[in-house]
Formats: sequence, C-alpha cells, structure tokens
Amino acid sequence: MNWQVIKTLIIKDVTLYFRDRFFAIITVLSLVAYAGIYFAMPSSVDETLNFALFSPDGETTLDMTFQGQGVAFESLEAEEALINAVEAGDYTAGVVLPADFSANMAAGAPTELTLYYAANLPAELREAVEALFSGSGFGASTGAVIINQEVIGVDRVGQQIPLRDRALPMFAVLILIIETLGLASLIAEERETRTVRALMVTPMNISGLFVSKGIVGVSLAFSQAALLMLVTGGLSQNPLLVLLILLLGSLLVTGLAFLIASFARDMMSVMGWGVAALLILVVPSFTFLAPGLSSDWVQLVPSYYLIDAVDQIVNLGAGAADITINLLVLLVTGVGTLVLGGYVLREKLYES
Amino acid sequence: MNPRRVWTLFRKEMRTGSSNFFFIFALVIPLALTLVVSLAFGTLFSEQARLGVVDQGESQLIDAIAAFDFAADRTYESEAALRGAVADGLVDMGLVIPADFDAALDASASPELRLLVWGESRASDRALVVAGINRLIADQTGDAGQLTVNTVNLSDGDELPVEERMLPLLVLMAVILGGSLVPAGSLVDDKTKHTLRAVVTTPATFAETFLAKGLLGVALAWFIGVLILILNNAFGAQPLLLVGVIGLSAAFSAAFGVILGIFVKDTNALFATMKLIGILLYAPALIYLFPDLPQAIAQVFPTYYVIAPIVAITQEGATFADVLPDLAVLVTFIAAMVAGIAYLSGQIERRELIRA
Repeated sequence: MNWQVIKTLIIKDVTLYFRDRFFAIITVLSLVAYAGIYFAMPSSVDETLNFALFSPDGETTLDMTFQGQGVAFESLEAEEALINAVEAGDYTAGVVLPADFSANMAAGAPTELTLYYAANLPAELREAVEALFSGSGFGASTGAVIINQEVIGVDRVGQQIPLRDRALPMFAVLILIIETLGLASLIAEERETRTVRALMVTPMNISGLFVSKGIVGVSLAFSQAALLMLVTGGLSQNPLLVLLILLLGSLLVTGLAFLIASFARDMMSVMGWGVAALLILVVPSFTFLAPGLSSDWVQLVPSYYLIDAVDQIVNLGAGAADITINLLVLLVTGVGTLVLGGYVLREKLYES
Repeated sequence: MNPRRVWTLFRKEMRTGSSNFFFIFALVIPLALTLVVSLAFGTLFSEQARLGVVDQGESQLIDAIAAFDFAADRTYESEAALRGAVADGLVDMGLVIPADFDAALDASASPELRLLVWGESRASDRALVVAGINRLIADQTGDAGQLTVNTVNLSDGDELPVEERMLPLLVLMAVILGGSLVPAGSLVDDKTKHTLRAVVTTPATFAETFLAKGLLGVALAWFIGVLILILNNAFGAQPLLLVGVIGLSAAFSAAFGVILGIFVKDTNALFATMKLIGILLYAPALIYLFPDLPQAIAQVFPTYYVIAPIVAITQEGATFADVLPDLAVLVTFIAAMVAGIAYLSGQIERRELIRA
C-alpha cells in the first residue's frame, strides 16, 4: 500500500466533497441546524402546574395540600390581576377563593372556588385540573380508599431528562447518516465518470483505494458528530467513551456508504438508497424520544445500540461496563458492514 | 399549442417520471411526515397523563375512568402486562383494581388500590391522576364533598392543538414537493442528458414540453394534497371547494417548479436551491405554527396565498366568498408565472434552434 498515494487521494476526496455544493451546504447547514435546534429546545422539564391564587382571607391550606406534588401557587393581590395574568398565559389557571373559604373549610361547611383558565390550558387538561381541586381532599373524602404508590424504575421527579438531551443521540446519528450520503455520492460519481478505472492504472491498488475512502468517510462522519457533541455538551461525561461509540458508528455508516455506492449509479439513486437507510437507522431514536412507541424489533437495527449507548452515557451517566453489549454489537456490525461494503463495492468495481 | 402532443408528452412524463427519485421523494416524504406528526404530536407532546388500568374484578371504576377525561386511559389484561407497560414508559401510571374493590367500597372497608408509577413521569401528572381517581371514587360513593369547583373559560376560542397547527405545513410540503420538485427535476434531468435539445427536432414545442411536465406536477401535487387532508381527517364542510383550491395551489407550485427547472443547471444545484429557498416557501406555515408571532407577516410570502384558503376552509369553515380575495392573489401569481414560462420557452426554443 502506497501511503503517499493514499494521502493524495484523501486530500482529493475531501476537496471534491466540499466542492459539491449540495453536500457542502447540507453538511454545514445540518451541523448548524442540529446545534440550533438543540439550543432552541427547553433545557429543563417543567413538571409543575403553576396556579395564580387570589384569597382574600390569606388561605394557605392549598399550598400545604399540594406541597411536593408538582403544583405551585402564587398569591396575587386582586381578582382582576389574576384574570389578566391567566389571560396572558402566565399561569396554568387561576384559583379565586371566597372570603369565608378558610372558615367554611374548618367548619366542614360547603364552600366553593372559582377556577379561571385561558386558551393556553390544553383542552385535554381541563377536566384533570378541575379534578385536582375536587378530588384532593377538598371536594371529597379521600379516606374512602388507600392508594399505595409504587415507583417503577429510577424516580426522576425533579430530575427529568429534557427532550433536547433525549434527542441528542438522534442528532448524532443523523449527522453520521448524512455523511453516508456524501461518501456514497463521491464513490458513485467516481464510478459514473470512470475515474476509479483511471486510478487503477496508477501506482495505487484497490486496497489503497478502500483505505483512503474509508479514512475519508470515517473522518468526516466522526469529526462532525464529535463536533456536535462537543458544542452541545455531550462530551461532558465520559468523553472518551462517547468518542469511541461515535467512531464505531462511523465505521458502520462508512460500510453502509460502500454498500449504497455499490448499488447506486448516480446521485439520484444514492439519495434513494440513502433516504431508505436513513429512515431505518433513525427509527430506534423514537424509542428514546417517546418511550413505549416502538416495538422490540428496533433492537435489530444497529443504530439502536449507538443511540442507546450515547443516551446511557450522556443522560444516565453510564460507564463502559454498562454498555459492553452496545460496544460489542457496534464493533461487530461496524467492522462487519465495512468489510461487507468494501467487498461488494470491490466486486462491482471489477465488474464495471 | 397542440393538445394531442401535450397529452403524448404528459403520458411519457408519467411513464418515465413515476420511477424517478423526485417522484417517489415527493410522494413518500409528506406521507411519512403525516405519520410522524400523528405519532409524535398525538402522543409525544400531549399534555395529558397516560393511565393504564387492570381490573381484576368487574369494578364500576373502570367505566368511570374511561368516561372521565382526566387521563388518556387504556386497559390491560393482567398486572404483569400493566407492569411491563409502566416499566417501558408506555403509560405514566398503572392502576390495579382488586377483584373485591366495589364490594369493599360499598362496605366502607377502605379498600386498597395500587398505583404503579413510571419513574420518569412528571410530578404534576402524578398529582392529577391521584386527584382524578379520588374524584371518581367520591362520585361512586356519593360523597359530594364540601367544595364545589366553578370553572370560567377566559378565552374567546380554544387554541388549536399542535397537530392541527401542523396541518398547513404538511399540506404545503405535499403541494410544493409534488408540484415543484417533480417538473423541476424532470427538466434538470432532460438538461443534463441533453434530451431537451432533441425537442427542436420534433414537431413538439418547448412550451408544450414545459406544459406536460407542469401538468404532471399539478396531478401529483393535487393527489398528494388531497390525500394528506383525507389522512388528517381535515376535509372540512366544503370538500369540492377544497379540492378546487388544492388544484390551484398545485398549479402555482408546478408553475414555480417549471421556472426553477428552467434556471437550475443540475440536480445538485436544484437540491441546494430548494434547501436555500425552502424556508421562504414554508415560512407562512411555520409562522402559523406559532400563534404568538404576528400572523400578518405571513402575507408577505407568496405561498401564504396557497395555504391561507386551505386553512380557512378546513379549520374555520370558510366559504368561496370568504377565500375569494386570497384566491385572486393566487391566480394572479399563477398567471404571471405562466406568462413568464411562455416567454422563457420561446427564448430557449430560439436559442436551441440557432445551436441546432
């Protein structure tokens, strides 16, 4: 293998990649867009229902009843101020108590409260919010039954993982896949314009060609995914482990690029095959975005282990021992896909 | 302009175009997005807590939970199935109603209910579900309690759910992708393969060729636009008017696609151009997504006149008279683009004849 030729080829490929207006634009745009989307998403999960409260007699039972239950009250000076604040969307709803509320409650006498809500309270929550007051010890006796609560899994109340952090592994996978399209397009173009054949009459052999293409593919995919993780703080925990996962993911997508380039004749078919691959590889991310949405079969898709590993490290603080299976699966599928893709592409090149 | 030649060219476009990547892309992407939106916005961004219930006897409580809208409920056959659903996060909480629950409740024996709580469920959801269950039990025992809750809705109308606000974006994507990308892609393909130049050696004119390509765009955009509305159950009270409006929108999009195809050099440039101007094309739908933004800004963009009548008919029950001003602007845009295409086709034809 002539490393000087390989180096020249790598420089040529990188130059050609960024000379292609389409892939150059989507490479930069996607990096900026994903980082932008990440930072635009909320950085915390709001698990509190915030109510405005107007109580002429300074009632405090409500606060005490809902303490630590994700329900908070803020007292306002007047009913009109409360109505304005609710209309402005500052609160989930507004609660107005009558002047004799505390006295009636203490005496066990019938009383009432008025619940003001505006358009920002989703329709599906209105009955629930009403039930919150009528079913929490004020409206009815809660002693009729005993409700025993059992938390399944890690109790994350107060420490919820924001959606943007759940989506981060998906963004990394999308970045890797877009590189698949770029590399596959580069190889397909060389096949189409027959420059691959021209290269064969130079001192470079077919192994050198694959090594150079592989290095270009892995470097482009890995560097961009790593950059995204760096910018978004995804490397703050176990950075070497995250980088290792991304590297293995880069092997996988480079192998996929070889496979796509084997079957694609031009950029259009690269896009066709590429979008199909993209859809399949992205599906496992829904498992993390919306738990319970997808079935167990998503574990057959190799990207599941990539997303799961990044999710576990970045969001759950996992270490290498926790993701051994992920590492193994990614290593086997990454190297396997690279070898398979290289073999199929080589056969296709010989055929043509 | 010979209609028979246009028909022949249109059929040829149908044959070759339907296997084209752009055709499949324009057909698949809006459908895939519809699926994603219905899945994601139907469940992922729903504010309602999800409650799973398993009834080990025949409790009245299960019917009351189904009837009362305090949580999105689903029933399970066994506690094991419910426990699995909670562990997977399929439901936020799982309620196990024991076999003798109603009898114990009637006997005032304070029966026990077990509530399995998904660790990642929100504190507020837990409070709402527990309160909701207490309320239903109070109803069942006839305990009216001492507190009456009066509710006052301060808004004029309810804010539309996210999935409904997404509809204009879906329809616009369907119409723009189908209407613009297909004729533009076909024209670019002809250019790169130099088959467009061959037209000058046939009786067909460039105008007829452009019209045939445009018609394929119209047909596809029309079809996919209507399909998206059907899939989203958003056909409104005036289906015929809506079909007509989508037809006009498809014509707008196809005329734009033909112009794009005339100016763009190759496929890469077409993709890059679509990427760059995409935000302008979809801007009115994006603005509609966020009700807090001043909605009047959307009127600056030509595609506003594509989407505004569709929104008005599907979501506001507008009639033909209501949408007439917007349609007039849309028709003006279409007429201007068609005139531009006619002019450009004459120019290109003369240039190609000189070259030939």
